[in-house]
Amino acid sequence: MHLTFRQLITIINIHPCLFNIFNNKIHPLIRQSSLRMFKLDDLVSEVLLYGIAIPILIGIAVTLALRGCFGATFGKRLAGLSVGIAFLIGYILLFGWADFPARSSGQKVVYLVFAGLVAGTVLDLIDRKQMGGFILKFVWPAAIIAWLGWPQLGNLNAESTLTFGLLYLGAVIVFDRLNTPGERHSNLSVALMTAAIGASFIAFIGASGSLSQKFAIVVAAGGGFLLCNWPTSRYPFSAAAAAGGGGAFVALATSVVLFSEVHLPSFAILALSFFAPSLSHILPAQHSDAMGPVIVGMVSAIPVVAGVGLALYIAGDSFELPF
Amino acid sequence: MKLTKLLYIAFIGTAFLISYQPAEPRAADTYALDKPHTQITFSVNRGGWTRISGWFEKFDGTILFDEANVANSKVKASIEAGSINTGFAKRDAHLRSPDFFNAKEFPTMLFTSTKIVKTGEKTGEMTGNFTMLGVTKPVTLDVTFNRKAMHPRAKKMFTGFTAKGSLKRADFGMKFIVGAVSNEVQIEIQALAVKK
Repeated sequence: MHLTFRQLITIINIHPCLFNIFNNKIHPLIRQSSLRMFKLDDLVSEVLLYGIAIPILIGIAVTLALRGCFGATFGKRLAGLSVGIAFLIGYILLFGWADFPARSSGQKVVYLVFAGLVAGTVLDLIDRKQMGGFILKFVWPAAIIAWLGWPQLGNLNAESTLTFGLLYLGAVIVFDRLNTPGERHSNLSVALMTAAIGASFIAFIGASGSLSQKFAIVVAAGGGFLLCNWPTSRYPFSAAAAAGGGGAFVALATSVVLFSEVHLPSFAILALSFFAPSLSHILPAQHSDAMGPVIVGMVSAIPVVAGVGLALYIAGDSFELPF
Repeated sequence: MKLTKLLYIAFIGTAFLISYQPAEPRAADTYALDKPHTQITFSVNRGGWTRISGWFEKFDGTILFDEANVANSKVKASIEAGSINTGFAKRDAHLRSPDFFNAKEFPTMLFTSTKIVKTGEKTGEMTGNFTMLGVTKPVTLDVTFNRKAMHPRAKKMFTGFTAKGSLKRADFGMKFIVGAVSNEVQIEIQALAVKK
């Protein structure tokens, strides 16, 4: 059974226990937090609230709202927008509005995700699988990398050419895996989330807390969409979800590779997480709608553990953010 | 006789007029920063416990110093963001990361003076545009003119300044953990410059 947005609000209002929890616990917290929105200075609580809790809630709300507003066929096709929208809202809450034109790679990510949502939605609406697949797998990663790395593209040497080549290859793999036809949609969310969890840890170990926070937002955005798709997979991981949510992951990964001192081999291992949905097909429990994403999560966690382990090993005995 | 006297006076007068040259206005002198003896340092308050200081190892700059009319002076400097040093390698790596200076994406910080006002015998206030992380904002420094003298061994004219001020790093987009590490950054520059 699935719920419309209106039904969800009705349930909250009429169910006394849920209403009390919302009115007495959640609503004051949101109101208090919104008043202190720009004064929260604790790293952990900021990330937990703005970077994780709110994007998850936004992901759920937007998925259900799109489904409720646009009906069974159209609404489901658009539901994947929630991944990118949840990411954008979480990002803006944590890091503020991006300047126009964007000054830094961090701000460019916002516009890239927005462009991904628009382009992905158009691809979903015109429903041209072959053309859409080509654009998503080959054109979109090139656009992301080119815009983020264009100053360095003008000064290529052997090392940077190799870096850009491997970066593009990795991005193509990510979008190809997120656009796998016939794959259970919740599996794709899980693969994206698991890779983003690993990326968040590796970025943190590599002394980049802000990039770690941004990857956490990707996890939360994917998580909200996943919760609407589990235990029954209802909403397709559409081109909008891949271009928006996957685009956020690839754009952040590009920032890591080009502008941080994160250990790159450990980061590259995370690309293997995106093969987990395909590899999981050999396992019997994978055929269950409920257990399938769990199995995919476990399989995709293997390269994540390997990547994080390698990053920890390289970092040595201390990996906390020194400042 | 009278004619000879007149010619003589005319000759003396002309020679005097030719030899007389009114004093030319003194031009500003251009100085280059003497890097081994110049320090660009900063400090921040870390959570109220301590102040953490650091400096930049790689920089360049020129000073156009007009001692007679300080308002005509100009200062230009560039600092390599990745050359930051706080005495702790892991912290320096963190400072170079996108969390703070984002040194790979914005390798150079720039300062160009726009206005210098003399406030005392040897003091002045210098305002200029400072560019960091792609953002340009005005910054004002209190400058003290320490000394100008010929170096006895180098046989070159050196001039020394001290500049102090502060800026808010969030104004330049450096907002990471603004609560835990102070937004206000104290700056102190000890500049020794050699005349070109």
